[in-house]
Amino acid sequence: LGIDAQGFISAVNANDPDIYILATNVRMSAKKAYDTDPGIILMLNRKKISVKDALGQSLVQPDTEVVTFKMKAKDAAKVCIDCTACEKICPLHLPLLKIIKDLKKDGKFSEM
Amino acid sequence: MIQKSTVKLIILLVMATLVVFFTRKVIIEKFPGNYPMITPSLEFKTAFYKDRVEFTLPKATKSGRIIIYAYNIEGGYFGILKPIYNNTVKVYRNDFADFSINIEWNKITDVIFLKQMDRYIKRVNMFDLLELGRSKHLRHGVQACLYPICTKCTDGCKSVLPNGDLPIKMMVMKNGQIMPVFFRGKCPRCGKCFIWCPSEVIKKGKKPWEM
Repeated sequence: LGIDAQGFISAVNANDPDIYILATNVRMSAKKAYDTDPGIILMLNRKKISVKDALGQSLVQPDTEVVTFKMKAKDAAKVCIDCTACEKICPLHLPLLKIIKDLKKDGKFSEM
Repeated sequence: MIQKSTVKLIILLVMATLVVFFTRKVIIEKFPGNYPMITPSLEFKTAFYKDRVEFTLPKATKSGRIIIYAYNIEGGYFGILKPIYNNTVKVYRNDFADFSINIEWNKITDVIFLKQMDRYIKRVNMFDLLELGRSKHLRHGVQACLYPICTKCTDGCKSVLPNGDLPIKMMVMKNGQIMPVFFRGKCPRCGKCFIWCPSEVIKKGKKPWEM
């Protein structure tokens, strides 16, 4: 899904689940992206634009399938399928799955 | 007269039987759970349009995503991960494959992810492949199992059976899709596969005495 696992670590370090992290291959309808967060950055014709602007400028229709580029850490966690590829490959054995599960639950970090 | 050694042997056998009888649950039933059950392939309808190919499914998967696959003339497998909306999956003209799999004699030899972060290392148009599949009768369709993006079932097996010889193996079906195949004899019934499966391809099956 192109979700940058390092982004989750940055979000933990900043204690801010609202920071934008790379999620470069998540496909969803423009409406769903807007409902999730109007600030989601899309990759549209090789240009980066927020879903709010893309809909506002009629570059996409609400039912158009879009590919995301950046989204909030808490939203990225929700679309993550928990494939655990990040945790398997992490040389520092960071508890990435726990972070993702915490964010999935209530969009916040629990005590580590 | 029974010899002393024979008596000793009988006592030893009785003791061994008693030990096995009282500890069998600990030794044999380490994971006294259910066997997994592999769900059959999804049936779907395909409709080709000028700008898209639509796959209509009887129901959405648990993860809300599915893989659309298509083979090229050389027998290479290409797939794209797609969201499901209203039980429909659409592949558009400018959709490129996310990954390819090399298959030799129905065995997976290599997996290559074609999109790495925001750039493609190779662009393979899925719409064109599906069109080709329709015209040349090549294998194409939907795959509920999210392999190779997800390998949680085999990861679960590996965590319990680290020495290999796993009860779940990913295999290529006749229709070309890749699905987990389960071999009951080797399964320790830990249940990780059906608990972890994000698309409910592997479900909780029956217990041995219910079969």
